[in-house]
Amino acid sequence: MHKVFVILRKEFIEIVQQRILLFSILLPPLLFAVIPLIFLLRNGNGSRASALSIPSLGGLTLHEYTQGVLGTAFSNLYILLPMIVPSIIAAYSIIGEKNNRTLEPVLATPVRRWQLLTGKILSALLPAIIVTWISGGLFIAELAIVADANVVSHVATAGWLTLFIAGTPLLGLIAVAIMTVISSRVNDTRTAQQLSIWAVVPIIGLILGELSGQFELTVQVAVIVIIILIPIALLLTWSATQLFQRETILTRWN
Amino acid sequence: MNAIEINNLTRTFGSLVAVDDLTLAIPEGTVFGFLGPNGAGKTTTVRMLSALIAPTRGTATVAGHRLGENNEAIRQSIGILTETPGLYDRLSAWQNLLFFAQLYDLPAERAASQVERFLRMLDLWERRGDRVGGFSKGMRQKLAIARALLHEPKVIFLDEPTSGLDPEAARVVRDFIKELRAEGRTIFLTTHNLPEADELCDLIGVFRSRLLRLGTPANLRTGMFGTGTQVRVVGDATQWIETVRALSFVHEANAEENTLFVRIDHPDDQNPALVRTLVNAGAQIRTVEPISHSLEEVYLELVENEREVAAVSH
Repeated sequence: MHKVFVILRKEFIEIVQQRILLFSILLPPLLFAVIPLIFLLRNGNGSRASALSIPSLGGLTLHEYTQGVLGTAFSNLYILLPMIVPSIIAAYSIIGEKNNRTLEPVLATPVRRWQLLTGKILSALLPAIIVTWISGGLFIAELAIVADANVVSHVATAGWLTLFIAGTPLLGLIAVAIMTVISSRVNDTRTAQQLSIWAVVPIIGLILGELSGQFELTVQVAVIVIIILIPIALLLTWSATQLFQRETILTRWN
Repeated sequence: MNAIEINNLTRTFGSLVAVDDLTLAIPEGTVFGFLGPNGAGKTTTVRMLSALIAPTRGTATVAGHRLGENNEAIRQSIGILTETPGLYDRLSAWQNLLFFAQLYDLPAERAASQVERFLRMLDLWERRGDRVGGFSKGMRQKLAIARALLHEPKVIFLDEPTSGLDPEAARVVRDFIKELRAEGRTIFLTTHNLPEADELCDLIGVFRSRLLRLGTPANLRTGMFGTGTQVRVVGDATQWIETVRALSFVHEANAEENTLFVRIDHPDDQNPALVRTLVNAGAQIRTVEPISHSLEEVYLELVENEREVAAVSH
């Protein structure tokens, strides 16, 4: 494990040194925390929100319901966050190494493939998990302070919390694995990020499904989603592992 | 004992044969020059010997470890300077080296002392805290060389180590390579700099997908062009051609203006008789020197011959 930490530390030093990367990592959670606050503070009229029918918001007053709609919409964006942040880091980490030809000297050391890949994955995954959980926590705190008393429990439901806590690492892992696969084929970070955007489409579908009242994000639904995510994450990680072999990197990566 | 033993090593990429049936033994403490044109398969060979890519056929033993059986031990026993320095631009010189020292399993204290030692040795100590992105090409190359040596490897692969260096820095690196040889390390040097190969290498292999020739620089020269003596005389040298050709040990004699070129097998033994014959015949001799061919001439001749052979076979 020692070498995993060595790689992890090197990756973190590099992340901190890149202002644009750091800005790209911190901007989405910052926006996710600030925008709902603005909307919640401006909210007064619930007439438009009443057109939506979200099962988890049943029993709320019109004013609370409007806040609940806003809260639910934004709470679901926190499920997207663990896919956005690691994609940014992984793209810079892997494509950066490719472009600067820094991988070959590393591969020539006695570091094991799993150590290198684990270090790379964790360097993208850990910031994503931390940023997601902190900004999600801030969001709940904002909601508790700004919104009416009943709203928090209707937004931060057990189902949402289950997906938010247990799903975040899985979604992050999926994003890193996808980015590793993409990074083996492309040579610039923008292209990699553009391609990886498609990975969030199913999550957007999930969000829209809940907002349109198609289903309620209960604990059971969250568990089903997590059960579906586990094999996807494992399969994609396995694919990334196959591409992250010394020979493949040196002879097949473009 | 051999530091590197290669037997029938072959690597293909689809229909392309990058390395064809390479067999070679490099004794410990040798500087081996691996010469060949771009695209000859040199990098592929080094990658195979570094356990980075697998051979299609054949075997090799590097630093006592057999390829494919204990690749991690091979990587631990070798140092490698790749074609491009491959340093982390955003890290300092210190951070770059420390990172690799840790990957080579050096304990913390030794890692720090080795990093300091090599930074001082290569005149980079004062810049240890600076980001490598701001370093000159020469400084980067020196840092990459330091990285290859941190763990005191037995076998060192150096790909164009003086490429892009100013003459002074190149001299530092060449002297450093000589020091490494004196310490008993084996150096596998890939270079296009033929005078450098001539100066540094004990053994040279000329390679173009397959090994075209192997030998010491002196053997390569004599093997290719033979040995001979050039005699500068007063006046036109052509008048002495027949006199010289009459000698039984002379294989060939030619003249150009006032110089005779005589091909003989043992100049040290045969020069006195040659000179005596010329003097007795009335020649006035100004100088007697061995005919010298540069390694560059040998290399170009070999590669050109190989191109012709390849063109005919296609």
